[in-house]
Amino acid sequence: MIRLRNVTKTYQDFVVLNHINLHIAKDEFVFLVGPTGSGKTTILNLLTREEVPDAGKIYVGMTSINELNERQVANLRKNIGFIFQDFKILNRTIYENLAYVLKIQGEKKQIIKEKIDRVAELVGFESKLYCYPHQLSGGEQQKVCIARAIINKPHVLLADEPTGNLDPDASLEIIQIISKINLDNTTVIVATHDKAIVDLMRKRVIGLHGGNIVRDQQMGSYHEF
Amino acid sequence: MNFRVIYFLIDEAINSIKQNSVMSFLSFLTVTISLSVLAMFLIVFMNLNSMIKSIGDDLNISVYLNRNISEDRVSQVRDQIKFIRGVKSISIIPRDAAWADLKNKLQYQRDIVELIPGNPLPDLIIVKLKSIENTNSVLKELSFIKDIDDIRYGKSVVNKFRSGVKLFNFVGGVIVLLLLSATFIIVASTINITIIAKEKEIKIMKLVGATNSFIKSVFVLEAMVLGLVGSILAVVLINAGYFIINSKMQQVYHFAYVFTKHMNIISLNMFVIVIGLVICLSASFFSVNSLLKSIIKK
Ligand SMILES: Nc1ncnc2c1ncn2[C@@H]1O[C@H](COP(=O)(O)OP(=O)(O)O)[C@@H](O)[C@H]1O
Ligand SMILES: [Mg+2]
Repeated sequence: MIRLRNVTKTYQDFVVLNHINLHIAKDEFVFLVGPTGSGKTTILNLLTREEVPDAGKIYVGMTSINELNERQVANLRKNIGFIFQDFKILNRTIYENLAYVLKIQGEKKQIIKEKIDRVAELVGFESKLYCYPHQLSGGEQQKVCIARAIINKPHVLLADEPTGNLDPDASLEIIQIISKINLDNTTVIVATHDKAIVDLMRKRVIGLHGGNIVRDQQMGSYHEF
Repeated sequence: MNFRVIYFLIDEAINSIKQNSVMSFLSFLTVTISLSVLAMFLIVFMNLNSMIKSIGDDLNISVYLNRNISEDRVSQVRDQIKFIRGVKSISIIPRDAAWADLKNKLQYQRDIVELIPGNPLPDLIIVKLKSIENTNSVLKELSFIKDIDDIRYGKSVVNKFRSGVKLFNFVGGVIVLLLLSATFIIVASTINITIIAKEKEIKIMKLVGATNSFIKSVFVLEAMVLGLVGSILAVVLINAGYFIINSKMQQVYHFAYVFTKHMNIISLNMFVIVIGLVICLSASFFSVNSLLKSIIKK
């Protein structure tokens, strides 16, 4: 599903990723771990073509995303859901936040409603649809972002520190929702340094350090033992 | 892009104008003021120029011929003048007819008239010009013709009027240009502020697969709404003002019809709206291209 071949990314003289090779199969659930500045966000940004590599090839699905025009980049992003640490919710009702995505795509009112009902049920905030963001807790806001990310049933879900601003209970709930989405045939990559959730989930763990992949474990934990 | 997307974009533009109310109000105000002044200037400009034209219609050059020339020579000179470029028509007042006419008018001063030997009057050719603009060239041509004794025309009045109009056109042009530049700058900053305020929206739009041109169109549309509303306000203002002044003037002066005769108020309105849209569009392209580049790339 996702493949990085000899990918190098530098900012000025600083090498963030140094000849990285990585393969993630369809419907896999992967944690990207490593200290701050180790390049977790950079890998996610490369996959959405927010950044381009200095060298190496990147495949999402069957296609190499190195050479895409503007329209193809837009299409790529339609098939990838993205969740941030800072929630990036607009100051409108939750319903409007979700509808925003679909309105941009010119979706019909009826279909917008159906899709929002589906994700609201999946993520579990039907009762909050007409609240404003400031009326929600951090965990609830992050649920909104998850709902927004999956509203078009993307094949891939990328989450950058999704529990970074949440308390342990909310973190747990969020990671369970993401896991549920994964079971629903979605490839998931979570960049995190939340030890608790990595250790709890026992999924594949890819460790980054100094620009290299230093470990890649099935059913791994946050620290290598 | 379907109609629902267009509806969405217009809705977003109107919402963002509401949210950014201070800057939007400033934009409306400057668009309206500068377009109103532009239109006022255009109205006066068109009227002054049509007045110049109508004065030109009435402007005659009087050409007095030498007294001691033959009738053949008089008709030669007449033909020469007739074919000068810019001359609309000529009429000739023969010296004999003029003298008889004068004697007739002065019949109560007959004793004085009797004292004058022969006919003291010259032949007079009255030259009508096609336009006041031709005055100088016609005068120059006339100076090459022999047997002309004297040329008279409303020199100082015409020149003063013309330089007055020129000054008016220049000052008006500068004022309008300044106002239009101010409009450009204020609309561009309004769009700049919107772009900065909408950084989150831009990020989200990108991640859900909106193309750069789609994102740009959000802001261009907002500028278009600003321009359209501003110029429609200006048009309303212009037409109301025009109507009031016009009806007041006609009560007082009968010649006020001049102010409506040469005006096409509908094309003026269209022109104002088009100028408003063009300014706002170019202002938005300016900000979108300079500012959005950095945000889209981030
Ligand atoms: N746009 C950028 N310009 C310059 N340096 C950057 C940029 N983005 C990231 N970096 C640098 O790249 C390194 C890796 O960043 P990042 O991928 O965000 O790490 P992580 O998400 O693992 O904390 C950091 O040292 C960061 O300062
Ligand atoms: Mg990061």
